[in-house]
Amino acid sequence: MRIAGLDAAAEARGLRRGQGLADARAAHPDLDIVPADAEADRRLLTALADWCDRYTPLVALDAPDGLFLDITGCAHLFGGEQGLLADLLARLFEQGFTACASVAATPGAAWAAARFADGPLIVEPGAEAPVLGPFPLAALRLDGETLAGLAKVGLKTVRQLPEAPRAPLARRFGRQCLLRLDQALGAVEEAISPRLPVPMLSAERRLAEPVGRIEDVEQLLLALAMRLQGGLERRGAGARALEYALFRVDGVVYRLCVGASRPVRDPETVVKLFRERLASVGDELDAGFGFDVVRLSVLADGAMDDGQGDFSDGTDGGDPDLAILLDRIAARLGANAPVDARHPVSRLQAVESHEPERAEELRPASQDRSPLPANNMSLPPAVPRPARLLARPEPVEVVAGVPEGPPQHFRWRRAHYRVTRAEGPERIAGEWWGHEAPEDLHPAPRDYYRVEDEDGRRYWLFRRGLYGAAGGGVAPEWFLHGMFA
Amino acid sequence: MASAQRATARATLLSLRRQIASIEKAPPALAEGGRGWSDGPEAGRDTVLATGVADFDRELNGGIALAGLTEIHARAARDAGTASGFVAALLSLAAAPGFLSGLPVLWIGARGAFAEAGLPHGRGLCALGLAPERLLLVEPKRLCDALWVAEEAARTRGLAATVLDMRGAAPGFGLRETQRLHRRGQASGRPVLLLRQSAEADATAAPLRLVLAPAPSAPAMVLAGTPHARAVPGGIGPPGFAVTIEKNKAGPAGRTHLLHWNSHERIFFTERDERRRDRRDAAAGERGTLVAFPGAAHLGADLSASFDRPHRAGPSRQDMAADGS
Repeated sequence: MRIAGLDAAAEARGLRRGQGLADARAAHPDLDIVPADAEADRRLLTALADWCDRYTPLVALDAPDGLFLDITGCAHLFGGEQGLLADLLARLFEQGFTACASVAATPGAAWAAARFADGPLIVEPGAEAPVLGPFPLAALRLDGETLAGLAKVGLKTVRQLPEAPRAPLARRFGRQCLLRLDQALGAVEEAISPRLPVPMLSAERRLAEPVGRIEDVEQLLLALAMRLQGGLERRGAGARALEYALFRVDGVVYRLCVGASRPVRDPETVVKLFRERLASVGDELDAGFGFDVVRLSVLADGAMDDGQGDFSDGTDGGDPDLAILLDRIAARLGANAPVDARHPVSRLQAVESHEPERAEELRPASQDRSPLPANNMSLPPAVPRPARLLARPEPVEVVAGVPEGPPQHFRWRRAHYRVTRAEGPERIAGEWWGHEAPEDLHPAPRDYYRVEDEDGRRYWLFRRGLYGAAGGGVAPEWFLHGMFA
Repeated sequence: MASAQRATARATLLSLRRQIASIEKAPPALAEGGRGWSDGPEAGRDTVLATGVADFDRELNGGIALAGLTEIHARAARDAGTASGFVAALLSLAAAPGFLSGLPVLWIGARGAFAEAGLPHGRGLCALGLAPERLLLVEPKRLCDALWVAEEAARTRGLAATVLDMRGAAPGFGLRETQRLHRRGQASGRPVLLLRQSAEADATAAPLRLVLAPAPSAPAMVLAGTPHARAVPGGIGPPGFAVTIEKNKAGPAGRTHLLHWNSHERIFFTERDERRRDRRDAAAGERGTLVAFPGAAHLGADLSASFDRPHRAGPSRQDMAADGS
């Protein structure tokens, strides 16, 4: 076991990373040791990245212990780069983190300055070379092997690298070492990859006094939605997926997503959708000491035609729109996903199959929900089918007059039924031609009977298997599969 | 002086009665003089759904009120098929107003309702006349979610009807909840059908509660409407429903009606209607001319079947299949 990470106090005692744990313990018996948990570290870093969203939507992870923030065009909101840097470090310090940060025109220079400068540093564009010059070569994000190789030939600081001939360096240590140098100095563009999709529009509000009540959260949402409305109108678009991010004072970020089946722009509608989402989240949304930043973003949009309204549609209190109802149901019952991939409301879709269990599928109602799809189910079936079909056939005990005949008595769910009328059988054999055909290719056929008992209940029973040698010595079994009207 | 006081008291009483009547949506006869109020948007709220069975409709004062809540109970989960079939039949009645036969129906299964009694089966409902494309199913995990969905759906005019399918006694569902559903259905003019399996008769705000029990089906007839009409032995014909009116604001309660469903013409009928009709058909059939009936030629030479006349309970393919067995 080795030391994976350590704090300033331990460093002051002369411990270092990679040192054997037994050695360290022998030298300092009072060490407080916590097993490394890479997964937890990753979660913490992700949570921090979430929190950093308050500064810019472009946050990229630099595992295991760094974050890149692209603050282009954001810094003035926080009183310039200096102000942003100070605010960020102060807030992180208040949360108990020890963080180093720097601002530079290139990700490479910022990375180097954050890790190797003595304090928070703002590197002016074009000044990368002199600032990075005295740093060791590790500041260039090179791997250990390359570093060791460079050290062997006497290259130790960043300043020495541009002076060395490029071609032999590239030949000997690969293109990576020169690429990193060029990236840090700004000769080669480097893009960071943000971890979250960049919203096409967003509106946010910073609050001097944190809010915690759900009514206030909704009120803020309405104000944000009204601000977004103008932007959407200018684009002639409406939102199809929206995200409402709530930044809690102590760093926790809640993201609520809703999807809309057709573009929405009206602030009231947006609030309605989120109201269901908030209701379904319920107690999981812990306001704690309150939220100080709220942001509403449009993650996906769709074209929206502006039609002229008329006075004819009677909206007397009721909400006439089925699409909005379905969206609200999805917001309340569905997962916290912006796109309605799995809509809680389903519709029945006929499938070409003789097996009653597979003859109909539940499909999410979100796909082509209106107008009603035309499929081949509108024709009444040629053979009797029950009004309600049990998800799985339930075994019943049956007494039949003759082995292959219809049932005369049966027992289902501990109740006894005497059959007065029976129609059938309708034989349904296994589908050996289908691509999900069973292994043996000859599943036991089913003989379905529609029976009526003394009271007039009508049931759908079937016998699975065959009598005699054809059944392979296995006695047929009876099941109840559905109820007729 | 005393008479003046009495007159004021009477006027107050009358106005209070009117208010109560308007709150309860009582028939206009009770709310004297309140007739003229329910014009305009409210006119659609008094639509009733006539089942086609004269006795039954008379007791319901014309039919089942479309706006608002109607409870349909099945005493046991095993009768869920009967109750679901009755609901499907109601939603596909030929005499129903246009919106009821065209718009989608949201069928909400409260927790356990679909697991206990099975999912509504599209083809089976189609056989009763309800187009499965119109059906939207949702099964919320919690009862409060199911009630929320039902309330929101009841307000939506884009839906033909809302069916709330519940099983057993549900804590957290009582008079208040039915009141809320009823009020929302009334406001939008859309029916809310509360389908309860194995539930006790408890207090409800619904003006009508029907208890569904199974009833033997009508005989499966072949060559119906001809002098050669006969029942298939052991055949299962149009399904029967024993409908008990347990609560009825619009008229008497307590009677049990035996209805049958004709899925071809999408109308309920009773055995008495059927007998009367058969007699008339038979009388008409004697005057008919022989056209052709190749499949039944062996039944008799003097066969007179009229193909141009729509015949009820005609030999469907199901009956033919039964005949062969």
